[in-house]
Formats: sequence, structure tokens, C-alpha cells
Amino acid sequence: MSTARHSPLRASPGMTLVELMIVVVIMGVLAAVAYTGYGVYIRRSRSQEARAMLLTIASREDAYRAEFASYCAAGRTSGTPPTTLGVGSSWPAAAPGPTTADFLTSVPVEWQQLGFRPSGGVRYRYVVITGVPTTAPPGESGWAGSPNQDIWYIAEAYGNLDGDATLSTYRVFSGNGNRLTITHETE
Amino acid sequence: MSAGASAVARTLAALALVAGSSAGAYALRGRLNRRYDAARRTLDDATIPTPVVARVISLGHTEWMTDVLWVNATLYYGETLVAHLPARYISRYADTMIALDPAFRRAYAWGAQSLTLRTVASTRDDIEQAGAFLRRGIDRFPSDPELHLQYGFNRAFDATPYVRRQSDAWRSLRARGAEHLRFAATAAYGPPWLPLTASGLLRAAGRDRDSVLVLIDGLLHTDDPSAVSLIEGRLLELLRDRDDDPLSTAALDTVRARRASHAWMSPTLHLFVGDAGFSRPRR
Repeated sequence: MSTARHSPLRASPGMTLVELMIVVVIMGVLAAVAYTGYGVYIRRSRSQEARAMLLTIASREDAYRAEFASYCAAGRTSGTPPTTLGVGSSWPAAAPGPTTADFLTSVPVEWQQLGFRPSGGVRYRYVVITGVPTTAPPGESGWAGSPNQDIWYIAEAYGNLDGDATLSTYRVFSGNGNRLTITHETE
Repeated sequence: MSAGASAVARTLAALALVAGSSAGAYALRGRLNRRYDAARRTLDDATIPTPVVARVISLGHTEWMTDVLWVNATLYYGETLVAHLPARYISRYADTMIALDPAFRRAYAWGAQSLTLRTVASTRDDIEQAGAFLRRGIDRFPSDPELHLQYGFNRAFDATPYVRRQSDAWRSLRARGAEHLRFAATAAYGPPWLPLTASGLLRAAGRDRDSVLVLIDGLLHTDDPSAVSLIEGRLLELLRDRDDDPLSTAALDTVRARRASHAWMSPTLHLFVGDAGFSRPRR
């Protein structure tokens, strides 16, 4: 009988390559899940920018109206307030993506007029259009032709935090009071 | 019974069982949904500790516990908490954070902002609760212009749609808002035309002299040429109505003289320079 069979080294044979591979695969799967989850958390956190900024715009518009009896439209082009919604009308001019863009450099004068000055970079693009009672606000039903009409504004924010082809849109409409409408929140 | 008949019977029995279960579930769905909602509410509430419980489980590290709650609210839940969950979650988080660490300024502003703009229309209670957070923030940080600005907007514009226009409550809210907007304007915080808004609200509240003074403060603090022009125009308009107020008129004259003689200097520094033609008398 061989004594080597009973040595301590033989009693602890270690792990086979297959076992190691299984461990590596499991760790890889867990890391992938964690990374995906982390990305979702980060995007969910960053999307708060849009709501906070739209709230600031909404309060500025209310105060602006109290003083000037009108709302202030603001978008991409200085001196010519936007009349249509969409990323093409929004500011900052660069396409929305995961990284931030500077808001204040060469900012159109209407944003200064509104007093909207976010510090640092923004991940969303912003536009505000305004209208008089006889024009229907785009995307809002039950406004044109109804009694007790009022001047209105719509402020929208566009984001693309995951860098894919789908944009998320946040909207505030003065006729809805403090109510936020979100499209493709998680893109 | 043959094997074929037995199989058919088993199939029929299974179908009957499925049909019976479906019918039972359909009949009970209302009650089950109510029970589920009640259970979920209890469970969800339990996940946010009350201030007392949070203080106990923090083992004295209340600031760290506040940080954990802050990360939980803004990173883990993120926009979901604010946009989709009931308002009581926001209040509970903000309440707990403030109770644990009253010096955590962002909690006051976050609680107020989160209650004001949501995917469902904010109720009067939400707006009042938002105002209460800001009020507590101002009590803790009395010279913070951002909190004053937010509270001013909250009182003058967010809360007023819930009361009858031109009623006493409406006027009181506007006057309260004006006071805090004035503070922010005097601190040169907010939009450049804020002195105009504050002035208009103060004037509507019957405080004519304050409405003039806030404009003079605004002239001292703003660099925006269009805002300066608007403020000066409004000041002249108001002073025409108040030609019995030599102090205000003299103040406006002084500010205008400084602007003319020291155009290169920041308006804030105009307070520290003398008149253009003034020279120290020789001994």
C-alpha cells in the first residue's frame, strides 16, 4: 500500500479548472448585473435634473408673468424666441447625451431675460414656448375653444442619458398647474 | 373505466379547476386588491424609518444616517420617488433627514421642490407642506437667499391658486411671498428683474416705501442693463407719485450719479465711493 495516498497534500486536492471557470462565470454574471443596476441607479438619479430645472423655469415664468403680464419663451436662437417644441429648438445646442453641456456660455438672451441660470453643466436640453388664448398648445387637448382661456407656456426638457436613439421628454404646461408629464423616462 | 376515459376525465377535471380558480379570483379581485394595497402601504411606510427610529438605529451617527437616507432617496429611488410614489414618502424622507441633521440644508430645498412638481397635480397640502419645509429651512438658515427665493415663490405663486383671488388669504400669501422675494432680491439672488416683482407685490400689499427701497437695492446689485433700465423706469414712476419722500429721491439720484461717474465699477462697490466732484477739504 502506498503512503502517498494518505498524505495531507493528497487529501486537499484544490480546485479543478472547471470549478474555477464556474466561479469566474458566476462572478462575471454578478458583476454584469451589478454594473447594469448601477447604471440604472445613476440614470435615475441624474434624471432629477430635468424636474428640478423645469420647476425653476415654472416658478420663474409665474413671477415673470406677474411683472410683465406675459410668459417668456426661450430656446436655441437668441433674439427669435422658439415657436415649436423639439430638440432642434432647445438649448444647449449640442445633442443630448450622457455627458454634460455648458448652459451659460453664449446662452440666448431670452434665458437671461427669464433669469434661468443653472450653474455648471446640464445633461438635458430645454425649451419654452408661449402662446396666446387663441392658439392651441401643442399636445394638450381641451384648451383651444374652451372658456376662460389664458395665455400659456410649455417647457420641455430632452435627455438621452444612456446614449441610445430614444430621448426622454419632461414637460410642464401652465394649464396643468404643477404637473409633470414624462415620456420615455427610462429611455 | 378505460385508460382513454380516465385521461379525458382528468383533463376535464383540470379544466374545471382552472375555470373555478379563475372565476374565484375574478370574484375576489376587488377584495384582494384592497388587501394588497393595504399591505403594500404598511410595508412601504415601514421601509422609511421615523425620525425616532432612525436616531436609534444610527447609534449616534446621525449625520451618517442622514447621508444614507439622502443616497437612498436621490440615488436608489431617484426620480421614481419624486415623480411616481405618493407625496407622503417625500415628506417622510425630508422630515427624517431634517430631524437627524438640521444643518443639512439641501434636505429642506429638496423636500420642498419634490413636493411642488410631480407627475400628479400637487395638492394644496403638498404646497403647504413644501412651504413648511422651506419655513423650517429659513428658521435654521435665516440668511440663505435660495431658501428665501423658493419660499417667496411658494407663497406668492404656488399657494395662491388654491385660494380665492383677491381674498384676504390671497393678499396675505402675496404679501408674505413679497417679503421673502425682497430678501432674495436684496441679496442679488434670482432673476435680474426680481426687484421689480418684489416691488410690485409690496406695493400691492400697501407698503409703498418698501416697494421703492427694494428697487433702489436692486439698482445697487444688478449689472444687467435691461434690468437696470426697467428698475430705473419703475423707480421714476413710483417716485413721481411720492415726491414727498426726499430720502428715496436722493437715494435714486445718488445711485444714478454713481452709475454715471463709475460705470466701470461693479454697482455693489458704488456704496464705497464718494461723489464725482467731491474732494477732501484741506486742513
